[in-house]
Amino acid sequence: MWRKCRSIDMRWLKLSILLALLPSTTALAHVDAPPAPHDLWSAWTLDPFVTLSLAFVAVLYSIGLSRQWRRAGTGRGPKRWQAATFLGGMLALVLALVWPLDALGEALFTAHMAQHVLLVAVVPPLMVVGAPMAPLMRGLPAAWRRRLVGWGRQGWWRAAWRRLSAPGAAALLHGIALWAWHAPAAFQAALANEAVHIAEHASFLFTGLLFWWAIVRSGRVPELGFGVGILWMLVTVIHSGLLGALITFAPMPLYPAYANRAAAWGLTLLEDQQLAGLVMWVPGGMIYLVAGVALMAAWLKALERRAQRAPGLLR
Amino acid sequence: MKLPNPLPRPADELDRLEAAWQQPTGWRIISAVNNTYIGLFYIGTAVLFLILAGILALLMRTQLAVPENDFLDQGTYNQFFTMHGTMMMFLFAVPVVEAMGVYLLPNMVGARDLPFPRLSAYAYWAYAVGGIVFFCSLFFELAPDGGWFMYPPLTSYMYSPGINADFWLLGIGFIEISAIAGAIEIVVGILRTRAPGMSLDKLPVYGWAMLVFAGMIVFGFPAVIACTMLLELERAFHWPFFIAEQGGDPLLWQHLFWFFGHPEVYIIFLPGAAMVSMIVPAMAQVPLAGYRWIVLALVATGFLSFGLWVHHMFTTGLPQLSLSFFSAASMAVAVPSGIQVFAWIATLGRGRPKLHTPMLFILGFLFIFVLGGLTGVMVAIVPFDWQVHDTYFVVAHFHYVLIGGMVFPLFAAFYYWAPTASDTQLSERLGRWVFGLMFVGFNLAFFPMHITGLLGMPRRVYTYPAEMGWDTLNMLSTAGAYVLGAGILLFLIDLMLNFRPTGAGGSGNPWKAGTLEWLPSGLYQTRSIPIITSREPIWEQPNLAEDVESGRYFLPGTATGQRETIITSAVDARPQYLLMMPGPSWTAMLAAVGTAAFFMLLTVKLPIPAVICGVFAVAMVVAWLWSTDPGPAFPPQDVGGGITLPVYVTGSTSHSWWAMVVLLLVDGSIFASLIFAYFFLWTVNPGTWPPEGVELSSLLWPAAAAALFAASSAAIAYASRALAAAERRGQWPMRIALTLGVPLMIAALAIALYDQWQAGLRPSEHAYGAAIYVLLGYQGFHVAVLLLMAGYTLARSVCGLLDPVRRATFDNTMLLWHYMVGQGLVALAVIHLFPRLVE
Repeated sequence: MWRKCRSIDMRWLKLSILLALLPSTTALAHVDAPPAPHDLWSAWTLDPFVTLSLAFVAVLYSIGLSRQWRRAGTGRGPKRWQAATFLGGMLALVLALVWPLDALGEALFTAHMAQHVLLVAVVPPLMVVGAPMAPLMRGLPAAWRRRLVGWGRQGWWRAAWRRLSAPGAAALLHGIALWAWHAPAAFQAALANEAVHIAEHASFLFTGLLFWWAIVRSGRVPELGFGVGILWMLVTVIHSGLLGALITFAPMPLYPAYANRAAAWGLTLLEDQQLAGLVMWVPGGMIYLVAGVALMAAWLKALERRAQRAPGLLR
Repeated sequence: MKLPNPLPRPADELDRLEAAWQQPTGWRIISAVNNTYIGLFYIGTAVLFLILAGILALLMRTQLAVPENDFLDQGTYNQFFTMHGTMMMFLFAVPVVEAMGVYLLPNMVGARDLPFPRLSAYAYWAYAVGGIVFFCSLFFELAPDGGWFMYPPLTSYMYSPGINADFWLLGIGFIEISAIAGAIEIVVGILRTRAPGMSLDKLPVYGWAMLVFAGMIVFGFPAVIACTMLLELERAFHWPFFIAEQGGDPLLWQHLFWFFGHPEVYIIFLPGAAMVSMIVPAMAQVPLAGYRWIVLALVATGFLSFGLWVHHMFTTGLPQLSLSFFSAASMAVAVPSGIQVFAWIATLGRGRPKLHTPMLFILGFLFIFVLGGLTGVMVAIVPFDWQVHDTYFVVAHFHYVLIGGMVFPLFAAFYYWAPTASDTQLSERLGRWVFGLMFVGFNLAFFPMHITGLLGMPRRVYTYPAEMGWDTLNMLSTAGAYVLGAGILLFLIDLMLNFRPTGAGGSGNPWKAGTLEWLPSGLYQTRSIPIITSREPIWEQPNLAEDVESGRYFLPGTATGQRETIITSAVDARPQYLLMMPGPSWTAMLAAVGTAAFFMLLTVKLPIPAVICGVFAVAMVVAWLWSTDPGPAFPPQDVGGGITLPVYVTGSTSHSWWAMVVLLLVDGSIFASLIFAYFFLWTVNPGTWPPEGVELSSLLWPAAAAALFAASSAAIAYASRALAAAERRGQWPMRIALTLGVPLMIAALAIALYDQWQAGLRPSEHAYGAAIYVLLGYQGFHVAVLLLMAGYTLARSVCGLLDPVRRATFDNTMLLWHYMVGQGLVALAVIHLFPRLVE
């Protein structure tokens, strides 16, 4: 049985590596001219590092999930909706990094910003709510899993993790990542250099995951509940809104590296910048708003349930 | 259920409780600090300002009754409309809802008082004295005259050279500090002093609304404090934040002002709506429909309020692309408001509401507020807004929203809650007349203004020519204003005839309402603190009132012989410790008077007397604080039901730690506003940052400053450990480390400042320099405060008032210290790294 599983897994793994490599090797190199509207369907970004990482996570998750469901029954352990949410997160990641936003971001600051909004405010909450850690760990070969768990149990790692994943610290880190990358030199370096670009996206995504993970976890501390999470969500909606406002209202282009790349889309450099600021500010803010209200709803519900379970203070 | 304490109670228990809560009598009553007294003073003063600002409105309406009138000259009229708006917003609307909170909240959550009584007293007196002096500027023709939102460049030194604008900037800036003090009190009061068992899902909607209210103050008011600070610096020292020729931008003011100004609308409206949510169930005698929906609507409004400020600036030349976004977001706010309206209608539909006076005011509120909401949707549509901006249509719109959304609920609340304060109820018969006059008068005054505005009459004009066709409408508005005034006058008569506050008790529960403020009470609020198991305890927990009054619940007397209340956990309201609270005191009031005098003397440019008053205020604050942080003066006390509570805790459980954290949020928000200003000024000068002729200095100096700041933080962290080990090693290691921290932080600041100065940067030359010096100046303010706090902490150590257990004073100093260092590091990074990261 085990052997069979494993052979299936290995086949999957090989297949997906092939799939990932195939286009990236043939990748149409890099189109020099920024994509115009009619290039939408061919606006693929097939960076081997990114596609391989995505494929790796997807494969790991599928293997782990199939193992869990085979053992406990479909929909048990990780729920169907959790799997669907995680899948949604992966799809959003593909939209952001593979097609079409990454390539469009070469031309349009707005598309670039939409990509960032996906990376900080859409992908992380979907992934965190999808609770993928157990399936991902299950997907690893047993020896690796044991080693990872062993590392995770080390004192220094746990202490560091505890500090970093406190909601305040996580929100702060995420905020710093968000603001620092919008300094013109940093932002334009990312445009010019693919490695810097990947570092930018990675810091958005990983501090985003940390932030949303901390927020969703905050409900587990019964002494405070989601209150702390809601507070930091509010802080985040405010500071990201202020950053969006700065970009929206700047009377002059802040990132001249975009030059007149947006012309094919009927936008001037400044208009593109304004639209980008607005994308961060309004739809981005709406996501935080909805998240804050959802946390509040979950909190009230949990409180009511708890009050029914343990009425009264005097036993 | 077995109740915590058995009957009969000891004979002297009630006497001891009453003795602890004994209030000063005669003129000494102004030294009272408990929330019932301070709350009533506060409400009374706010109503006084309503009347004064209302009189200004009547005088303006008299001027506008006929065309080309010369009753008021233009200059006076400008002062009147500025003062009317400013007073109604800052001296009436915000204070009165905060005052209602101070008065009602402890009763509503089953506490004996708010957790920091002297802070409430300070906030009240600062507001009362500051507000009255501010109003008196009118009599010397020194009142501000630049409109309630004080847009520069009109209000800057070039176009408003007198001290009128300074009265606004210093007076209002200072009154906001009092509002923030109140907000901190309210947050900690709601979260930590609820009766045992009142988990957050049982908190009355009013409590939720006040929590959101306080949250909006904590994050919203700092923006206006920051921008008044910037404008005052520009006026006094010519730092060009808002002067375009020197790299500034007047729009910066508008952004910061409306970042506060938009939440301000909800700061006023949410408490009003929540009063309605409390009154409607009592009138209909059924629980509120959709409790959870309403709470969610309140939270959603709080979030939304921080994203909408730009819709006040539609006509400032915003990017075309942005307008539809803001328009859509502005309309989104109709959703949470709509949820509340439907919840009230559903509640009324389920019950059989009686048309008592409070109910009449609520119906009036629904009518007026819905109309205000509709015109709100109209002005959210950009082309329409361009048409009516700065006309009387907008005047009509916001009076419908504010008077409808807040004044009518407030009068409903006056009639509804008066029996908790007064031995006799207000008159139903007079109340109906009050309502009728106010409702008819209001609509008569403000409905025609919609049309006057559509006909093109601009705001803020002191007169108009006869041939414009505005005469009849204006005459109607003036007549309506007088009818509205008559309604308020009749209310005052009703108060004089029937309102007899005693501070103890009131006249029972005439509306048969279900929440805790209707429990029998005395000076000490509730005789014993109940266990709460439902949202309407009086309805759902049989015999609650009798059991509370006979002392069968927690803490039926005073355990320590002092004033006390039970501190409970923030979410589940489990009893944690017994808070001993201070009684009557002069220090808070004198500190407030000193602070007010400091600001006012500064305004009239008398620096030396101002400094004397400032020092006096600080001395009074120190005197007031000295008796706080009592340490474990008593062993843990039995409060009944087998629960024994300590009387002193420190660390993150303590109420003072919570208050400090909220204060740091305020502080961080002010700093964030200054950072926003820095970046905003960069966006208007992207190619020249720093401006020509200014060289960036080497990174060596700021690195040294950062290292010194970090070292001072380390010293304090070490002092904290040393204090914990003081039993074994004595207090000297802690004292030395703390003392060492002081020169480190001062040196860090000095280096940071010297670095800029020697590089030739001056704050008055360009917005770049101004933005940098204001960040460093704000850091300097913190260093000065911490110098004081370090001295105070050392003094307590020397006097033997600090030990490993009794260390709340040290902990608060430490929290602020670490925050200050973090702020300094961010400031240094922004000042020195950012200019290197722009092209």
